[in-house]
Amino acid sequence: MSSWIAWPSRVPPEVPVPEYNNAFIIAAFAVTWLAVIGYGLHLRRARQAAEARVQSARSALGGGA
Amino acid sequence: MSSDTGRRTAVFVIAGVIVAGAFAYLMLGGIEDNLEYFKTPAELTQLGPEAYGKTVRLGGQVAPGSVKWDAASLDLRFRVTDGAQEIEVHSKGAPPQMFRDGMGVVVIGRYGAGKVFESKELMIRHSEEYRAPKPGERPQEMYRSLIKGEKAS
Amino acid sequence: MESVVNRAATAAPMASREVRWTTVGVAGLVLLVAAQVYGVLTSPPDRDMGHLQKIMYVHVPAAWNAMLAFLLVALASLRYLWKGRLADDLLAASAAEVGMLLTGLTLALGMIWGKPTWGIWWTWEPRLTSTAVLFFMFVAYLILRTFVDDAERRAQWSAVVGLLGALNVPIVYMSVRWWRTLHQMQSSPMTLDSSYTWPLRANAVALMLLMAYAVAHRYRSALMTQTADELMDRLALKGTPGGSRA
Repeated sequence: MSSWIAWPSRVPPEVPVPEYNNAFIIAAFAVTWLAVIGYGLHLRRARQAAEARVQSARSALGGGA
Repeated sequence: MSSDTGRRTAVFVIAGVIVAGAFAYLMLGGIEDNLEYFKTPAELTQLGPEAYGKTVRLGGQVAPGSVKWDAASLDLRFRVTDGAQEIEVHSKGAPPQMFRDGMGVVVIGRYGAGKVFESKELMIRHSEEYRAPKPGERPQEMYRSLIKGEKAS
Repeated sequence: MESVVNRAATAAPMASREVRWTTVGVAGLVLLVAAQVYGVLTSPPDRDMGHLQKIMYVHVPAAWNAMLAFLLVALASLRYLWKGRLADDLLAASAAEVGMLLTGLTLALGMIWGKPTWGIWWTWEPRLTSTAVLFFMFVAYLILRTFVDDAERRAQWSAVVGLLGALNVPIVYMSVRWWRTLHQMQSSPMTLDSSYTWPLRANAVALMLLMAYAVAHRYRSALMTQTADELMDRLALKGTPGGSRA
């Protein structure tokens, strides 16, 4: 069967997988990576915001003391 | 400080009561209707005329050898079994690709006096088993033959 | 000012802990790529669902790790109610956020898997419904936190809601055994060919490392924010006349 993923040779060539199944498999892995990368970006933003807050607190402390 | 500790204890106790109450409700509460997703052929047969005309879910196995598929009219007939009782099911359209003899299914539809379950929706109920095909066995054999039949028409 | 001074004193060990957590995160990322490649390349197609079986390698680890994250929420919330340390509340919130993300991912992947195999995207059966309830309880938990300004009160309310939400975890897990569901029961090494068990375990461990990294990272950011806010509060109190009324 013609498929847009070249499945490795260990998989029997005659497996009758409907063509559209690949789309579901790719979508599942893509959604997973979207979540991993997306949350990674969220973590970085949260850290930057926290650092900015600490910085402004430090400078306020320096000015006040 | 002591009143602060007292308040914390109070919150702790209240939280415990809420948590225990919610758990008891979920365990013992009367929400069984939603917890039983489908009826077995034996249960549906036992209900008899009471079940006629109502939309119900029927679940079981596709009785081996019972599948009749007409590719030209996309007409599918098979029997659902729970080992004790069988019910004849009539469905329109191509079934999900995992449909085959012996596969678990849940059908949504109506059961009537004609003793045929008219299915509006056909779902596969997969088992918890995942197996590589044995030598000589091909995955999705059934689906392949169904699709072939469809193309031949 | 004691707590701030204490934290400044522990800055150096914290930096080295940060390096250690980064190692965990990088290891998780590398292992996730390796485990996915391993799973996709070596798994034979399943007898019934063919290559669609591979969606197991992302759906099941997401579900397992969501449950682990919520277990952490329960433990941290309990310890907060017991000891009253705000840090425990922040740990619970961090784990709740990661757990909610993983539950949402589990639901999304379940839908993607359900359509080609079961024939439907979604249905209101007990396993799916209880998982959706779990998801929305933690959405509510995180929304609640943004509505309460006072840190003590936010922590108390959150601990209660967090415990209630985490209580759903055993219900979700057991739903397929207690009730008649469309979702199949948990697979075990008995029902899973060995060619599927090892990629599944590798993927689960990889995601667990990433989960732990994410919670730790989020927790440290929350601690930093909390410390900065405490500091500003004290400064504000000092600045106003008679500000020592606290």
